[in-house]
Amino acid sequence: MVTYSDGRMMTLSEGVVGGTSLKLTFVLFVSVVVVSMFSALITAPQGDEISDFYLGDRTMSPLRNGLAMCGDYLSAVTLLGSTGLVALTGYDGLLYLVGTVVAWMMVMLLIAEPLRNSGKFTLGDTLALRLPRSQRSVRIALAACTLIICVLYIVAQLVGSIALLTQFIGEPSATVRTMCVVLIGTLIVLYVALGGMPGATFLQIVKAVMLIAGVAVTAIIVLHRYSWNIDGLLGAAADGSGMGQRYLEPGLRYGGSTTSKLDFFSLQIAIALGLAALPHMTMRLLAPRATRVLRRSVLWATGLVGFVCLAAGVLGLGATAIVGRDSIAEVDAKGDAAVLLLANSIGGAVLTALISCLAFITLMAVAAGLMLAAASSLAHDLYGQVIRKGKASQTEELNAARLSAVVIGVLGMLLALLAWGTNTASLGFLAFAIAASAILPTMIYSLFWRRFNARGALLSLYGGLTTSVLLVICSPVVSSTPTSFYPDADFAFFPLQNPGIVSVPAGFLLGWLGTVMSHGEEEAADVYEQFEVRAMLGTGEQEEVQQEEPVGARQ
Amino acid sequence: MPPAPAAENRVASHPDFRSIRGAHRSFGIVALLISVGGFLLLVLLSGFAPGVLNQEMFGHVTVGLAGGIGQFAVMALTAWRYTVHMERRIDPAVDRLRAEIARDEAEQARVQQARGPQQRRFGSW
Repeated sequence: MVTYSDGRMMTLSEGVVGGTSLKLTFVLFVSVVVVSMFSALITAPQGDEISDFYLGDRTMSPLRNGLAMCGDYLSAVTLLGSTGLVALTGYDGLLYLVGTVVAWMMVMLLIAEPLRNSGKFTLGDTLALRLPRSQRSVRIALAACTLIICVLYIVAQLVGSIALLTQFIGEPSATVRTMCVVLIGTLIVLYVALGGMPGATFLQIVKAVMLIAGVAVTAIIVLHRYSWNIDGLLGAAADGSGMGQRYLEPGLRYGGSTTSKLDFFSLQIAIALGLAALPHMTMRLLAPRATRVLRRSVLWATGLVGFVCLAAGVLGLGATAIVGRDSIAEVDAKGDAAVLLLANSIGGAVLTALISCLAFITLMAVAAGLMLAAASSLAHDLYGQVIRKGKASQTEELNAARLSAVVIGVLGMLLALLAWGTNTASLGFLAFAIAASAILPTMIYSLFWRRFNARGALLSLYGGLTTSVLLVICSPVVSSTPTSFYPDADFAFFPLQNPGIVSVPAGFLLGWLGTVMSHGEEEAADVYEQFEVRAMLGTGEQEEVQQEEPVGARQ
Repeated sequence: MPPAPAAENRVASHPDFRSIRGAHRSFGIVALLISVGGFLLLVLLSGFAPGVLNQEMFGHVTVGLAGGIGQFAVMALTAWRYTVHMERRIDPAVDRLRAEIARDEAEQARVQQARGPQQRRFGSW
C-alpha cells in the first residue's frame, strides 16, 4: 500500500509489473492487435455471403478448428482466475480446473456431431428444423437467452480487462477505466462487425497458440525447477502456502458450512453442463463442413484443453511454491495476480509481458466470439427469420448482424462501466447457469426426445432463464453481504451464490412438463424421424456439396 | 412440390439406422456417466467425506489429488474409445445409409423428371 501525499491510496502500489515489462506488454499487445486486425480485414467476408460471416472458412483443417475451439472454450478466467484459485486454495482450485476439462466431454460425446449435422448457422436453425410449427416463438426465446448470456459474459470479460489493468498501473482512475473499456470494447466490435467469423477465428487461433505456448513454457520452467518431481512441487506448494498438508486437502475455499459446500457443487454443475451450451461454442461446432473433420477438430481441442488445464494446475502450484501464498493474496485477494507474479519471478520482464499480453488477447478473443454469437442470433433468428420471415436478402441480414454487433458492444461497455467494483465473477457464473438450465435442456431434448414439442421448449427456455436470474437476485450476490450489489438491503432468501443446483433440474423438469402437459401441439410424425436421420447421418440440402469433400482431410 | 415420403423417413425405420442410433446413444450415456458422474462424485466426496480423500498414497499425493489427475486419464481414455467406437461401429453404417439415401433421391429425381413435362403441359393453358 502506498499513500500519496494528497491522501490517495493505491491498493496495488505500482502494480505487479515493472516498467520494462509494461512497455514490452504494450508493444506486444499492439502488434498482435494490428496483425490480427489486418488479417480480419483481409479475410473479411467478401461481397454479401452471409454464410461466410456466420461460419467463416468451412474447409479449415482439424488442427486449426481445434485451436479455435480451444480458444473459444478457455477464457481469461481459466488463465488467471483458476490458476489464482489453485494458488490460494490448493485442492479446491485443482478440482475447479478438472471441472473445466470434464465439461468438454459433454460437448464431445453428445452434442458436437448431431448438432453440426442438423444445424445451419445458429442453434435457432436446428430448433426450427426440429419444431417447424412454432419456430418463430422458439427462435425469439432462444435469441433472448443467447443475448442475455452473451451480454453478461461480455461484461464479465470487460470488467476483467480493468482488473487486469490494475495489475500494471495500480487502482485506475475513472477516466482510465472508461478508456480501457471503450478501447477494448471498440476493438472487439471492429473484429466482429468487419471481420465476422473469419476475423474472430483468426483472433481465436492466435490466442490459442499464444496460450498454449505461454503456459507450456511457464509450466516447463516451474517443473524444471523442481527437477520434474511432482511430489516435490506439491511439497513446496504446501510449504509456500503456510498451511502444510491442509493445502492439499479439500475445504479451503468451499469448506466450512454445508451451504458453501453446496454452493461449490452448484457451481460445478453449472460449469460442467453450461460450458457446453454457451452460444459461441455451439456456433463454433457448426463451422466444419464435414462431420469427420469436426470429430478430428474436437479431438484436437480435447487434447489442447486438457493440456492447458494440467499446465494451469502446475502454474497455480508453482506460484504458491515460488512466490508464496501470502504475497499472492496481498496483491489481489482473489488470486488473479498469481500467474503474473510467478512469471515475473521466474521469467523476468519478457515472460511477464508475454503472459499479460496473452491475458488481454484472451479477454478480447472470448468477448469477440460471444459478440459474434449474439449478433448472429439477433440478425439471423430475430431479424431474418422472425421479423422478415426469411425474406431478408443476404445484404440486409449482413447489415443487421453488423449493426447488432455495434449495439451489443455499446450495451456491454455501458454495463461494464456500471458494474465495475461489484462482484463480477458471479456474472460469468450466472451466464453458465443460464446456459445450463435454459439452453442445454432444450438442446438435449430436441436432439434425443421424440415427443419434445414447442411448448416444452418455450417453458424450459424461459423457465430456466427466469429461475436462474431470480435465484441470483434473491441470493447473497445481490443483497445482504458487504460484497453484494446492494449491501444494505436484505432479500437474500436463497442462500447459495450459484443457482445451478436448483435451476438446472428446474429447466429439465419444465421442458418435460411442458411437453407432457400440452395436447394437440405435436409436430407431424415424420418431422422427428427426418431430423433424427439428419442428425445421425448428416444428410440435408446444405450437405449436397459436402459429399465431394475429401472426408479424411486430416490436418 | 408435394414431397413423397422422403428418403430420410424410410431410412428412419431401417434396422441399420436403428442399431447405430441405439449404439451411439448408449455409448454417449455410459461414457458421460463415467466421466461427468465420476467428477461430480469426486466433488461431493470432497465436500462431505474429506476423510476418504485425505488418505495419503505416497509423498504428498492424497487419494483426492490422484482422483483429480485420474479425471484427465479418464478423459483421454474416453476420447480414444469414442473415436474407435465411431470409426468401427457408426461410420461404416452411416456411409452405407447415406449412399442409400442418395440413390433413393436420384431415383426420385429421375421419376419426377420423366413425369415433369406432362404435368406442365396440363397446367400451361
